[in-house]
Formats: sequence, structure tokens, C-alpha cells
Amino acid sequence: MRRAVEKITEEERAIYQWQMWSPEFGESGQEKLKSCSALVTRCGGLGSVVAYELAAAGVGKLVIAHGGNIKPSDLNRQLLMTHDALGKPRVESAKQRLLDLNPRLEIEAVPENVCAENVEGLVGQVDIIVDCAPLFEERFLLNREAISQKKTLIECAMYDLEAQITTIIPGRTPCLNCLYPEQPPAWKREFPVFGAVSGMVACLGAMEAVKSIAGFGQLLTGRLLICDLRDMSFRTITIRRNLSCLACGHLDG
Amino acid sequence: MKVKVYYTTQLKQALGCNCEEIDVGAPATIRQLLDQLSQSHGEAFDELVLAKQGNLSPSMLVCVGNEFTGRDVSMRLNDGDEVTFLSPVSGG
Repeated sequence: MRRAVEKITEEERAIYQWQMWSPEFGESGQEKLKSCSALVTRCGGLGSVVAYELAAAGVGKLVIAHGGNIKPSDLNRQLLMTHDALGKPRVESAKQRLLDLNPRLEIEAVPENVCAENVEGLVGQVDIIVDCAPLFEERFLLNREAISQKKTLIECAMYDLEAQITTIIPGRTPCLNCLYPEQPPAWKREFPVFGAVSGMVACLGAMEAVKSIAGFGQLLTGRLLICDLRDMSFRTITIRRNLSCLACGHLDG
Repeated sequence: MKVKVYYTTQLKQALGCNCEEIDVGAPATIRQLLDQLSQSHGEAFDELVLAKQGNLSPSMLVCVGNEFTGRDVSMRLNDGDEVTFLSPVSGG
């Protein structure tokens, strides 16, 4: 959870200087990042890069949740996994890589995917969530819990060379359930993916998180960004809340 | 009256095209466009876009221009409209 705003050290000032030159961000933005905690669910093609970018940017605490061991088929996109760690738990490799980059990072590595039993605890210990799960079951669980705890949830998703991303603020924007009131039946666990596509939308998700935490720029609230890297087209679609949504309809706008 | 129809992700793959121009006659609604696309593409379209009784599937987002239609299939289309069918994606 968000701690009292922590001042940055001289060492951190040297590391983050170039991003602190960004107008509207500055040292106060850096201090907000340092004082913030973020949950990244699954550290796959998306989550690996989200977590890496947030660690690089200087977020104070990361909670990463991902079950299972590293398989050869992870290595085209899950950039926190290494060849040497094949067969070992994903979160261990992820944690080591994140700490190699940013040893100041406080990190909790949970060797589980989001499920009904752990979702409340995972969401409860952070300020913001970046949803990178490959299954709608996990996404719906996170969506409901983020609404219940009124926490910002960044939804990143991709398929083949296409990607979608929106930022959900409970009660203010459409939630995942507003968009998809039912479990999409056609979605399959395995999908075509290039690491450069998952990494691209992951960078967008990480930047949404940085903007949200530091309070600058315009978030993708009430907007769904869709992009297709086959023809390099990017569009934003205006989306609206479903006031009879079973997940968020009870919240005032 | 002609509208341009765009397909994304799984639907694009299933239909084998990402965009087509459709002559829907005038006046026309999204409902009429759905019926016409169902006729021309058959099962590949129906499976991903339609639910029981030919209603729009709750997991298919339809946009006209850059606006989500909120699944209002009675929405009137205009000549030159661009209609996008957004398949749900959850790839991580």
C-alpha cells in the first residue's frame, strides 16, 4: 500500500535524472513512484516487460504473481525468464532479473496465478494493478477485486500482431465486465504471439501506470486503444459504462 | 448505401479478411448488417459474433467510427460509416 512519500536519495537522483527532466513529472513524480506499490499478474510476454519497465522507472514495490516453471516456449517473449532457468519457477527468475536491474526494489514474488483464494490479498497490498493474465477467468477476478477495493486497473491484452489496452478506474470508467458481461467462449489459452507485440503493449501499460501513479498526462480512461502492428494502425475507441453492469453498476459515477 | 466493415484478431483470422465494403441498402441498422454478414460469411461469422437466436454475442464489441455502440443493434447506419467488430482478447 502507498507509504508516506519518500524522498529520493542522491544515488536515485543520478539514476532517474533523465526521466525527471520530463515536464510535469520531475522529482515529485519520482518520489511518488518510489512510494508506490504495483501488482503485475503473470510475468509472461506482457507482465515481464511491465514489471521490468516499472522496476526501471523506480516503482518502490512490485508484487508479481505467476505460477509454474519456465518452459522453452516461454522464451520468445517472457523477457524475465532465462535459458539457464528452464524448468525452474518463473517468479524466481523474474525476481532475480528485476533485482539485477534495480536492487533497491522491494519485491514480493508469488508463485501462483490469480485465483479466488489469493486475489483479495494480492490486490490488498498494492496501490495499482496491471493485468497481464492470459485467461479471462483471472481477468474477471482481478476486475471484481479492483472494483471492491477501488483500485486502478490497467488492462493490457494482445493477440497475434494486435493489442488492446484501457485503464479502469472503478466507478468512473467502464470496467472489464461492462465490456464483456460474459466469459468470451471463443478465447483459447494458446494464441499467436511475438514478443515485440506483447512487449509493445506492455510498455504502454507500464507508461499508463507511471502516469497514474505520478498524476500527469491523460490516461486511457473511457477509451480503448486498439492497435495492429501488421499495418501499424493505432485507434482509440470511446467506451461507456454499462450502468446495469453486475460488477460495477452499483458504484456512483 | 455502403459501409466499411473492419474485423480484428480472431474474427479477422476466421474470416480471412480484415476489411470489406458492404452494400447494405438504405436505411439500414447494425441488425441488418449482422444478418447480411451472417449470410455472406456463414458459420465462421456466426460462431464468433452471434449468440443464440442470432443475437449479438455479449463478448463482441461493435464500434461505429470510434464509438462503442453499447450493443445497440437498432442503431441506424449512415453511408460511409466504418463499423469495427472487436473480438475479445486476453493474450498475455
